[in-house]
Amino acid sequence: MKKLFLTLIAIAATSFASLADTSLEQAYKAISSMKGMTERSVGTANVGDAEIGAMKTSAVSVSGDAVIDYRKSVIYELENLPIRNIVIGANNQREMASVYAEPAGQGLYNVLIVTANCLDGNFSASLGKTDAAGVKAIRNCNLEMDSAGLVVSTSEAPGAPALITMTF
Amino acid sequence: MKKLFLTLVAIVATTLSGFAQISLQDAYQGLVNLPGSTEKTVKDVQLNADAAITNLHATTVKSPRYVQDFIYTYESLPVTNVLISAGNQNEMACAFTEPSESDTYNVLFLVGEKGGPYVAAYGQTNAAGLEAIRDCEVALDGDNLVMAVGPQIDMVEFIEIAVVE
Repeated sequence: MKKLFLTLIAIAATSFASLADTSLEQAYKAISSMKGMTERSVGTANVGDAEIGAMKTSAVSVSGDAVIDYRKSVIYELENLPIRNIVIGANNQREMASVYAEPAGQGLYNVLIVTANCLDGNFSASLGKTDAAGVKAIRNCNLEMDSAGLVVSTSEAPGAPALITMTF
Repeated sequence: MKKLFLTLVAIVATTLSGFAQISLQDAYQGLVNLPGSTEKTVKDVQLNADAAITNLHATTVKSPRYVQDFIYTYESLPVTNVLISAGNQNEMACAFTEPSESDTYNVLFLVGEKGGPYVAAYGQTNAAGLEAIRDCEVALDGDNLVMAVGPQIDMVEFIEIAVVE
């Protein structure tokens, strides 16, 4: 009886723990530690007049059945992130790009950019920091998506700098 | 001790039931039942020559107080069932799908803009309809979101949101 009681407590605790939101750093860590991911430091990325600093990126390019495996793994990680933290994003089952932000204290925000391209097998996650102006600049980006690509850019103007580009 | 044990069983059962996936129809029905929502039957939406969304019902909630209900509904549905989605915290539109009868799929659209209104629409389509929705062109900027089936001359803009400041 005592064992059953303790087991029930453990199940309840585990269940409640899984309901807790994952932080962006945890999500980045989980994605970047997937098999085959290689990480590099990017430094700074500009979004209009704002910038995302202390940025690091992990990426992998796979083919065949591995694409399905990565798709499932990335979706699993993203399901633990609250959608209210998506600053901008889009997906159509073939291509996906989402930019998440959450407060990191001292007026800064952690930013997580996740891209998944199931047609060419490229997956990436980037983590950095920005300020409120940076979050606003990301939110006001132009996003265009069709069956052949997904672009998030700072302006509609041709040749405007792109934050995310995925084409086939 | 027995009461505590039964309480724990109830907590575990309730928690685990929370992991069960809800159907698109249940999700839609939950939003229809929100106080102040208004439902209407929309005519079929012809996406292209081969595809239409039929038996379409739409419910609109104007009060911003129910935004959490829409977000909760979105988060209750599996990401793998998202057919297409786009959003930027000012406006959002997404379409979920799940198989219904043979060659028929249920589709649920959730559309909203900051401050409301929020619209949920539920209907059925075929495989060609899913493909048309998945392939549609999405354009999103700070205050505008358009999802259109194309490219063609008479482009069907089945979702259009413009945020009025």
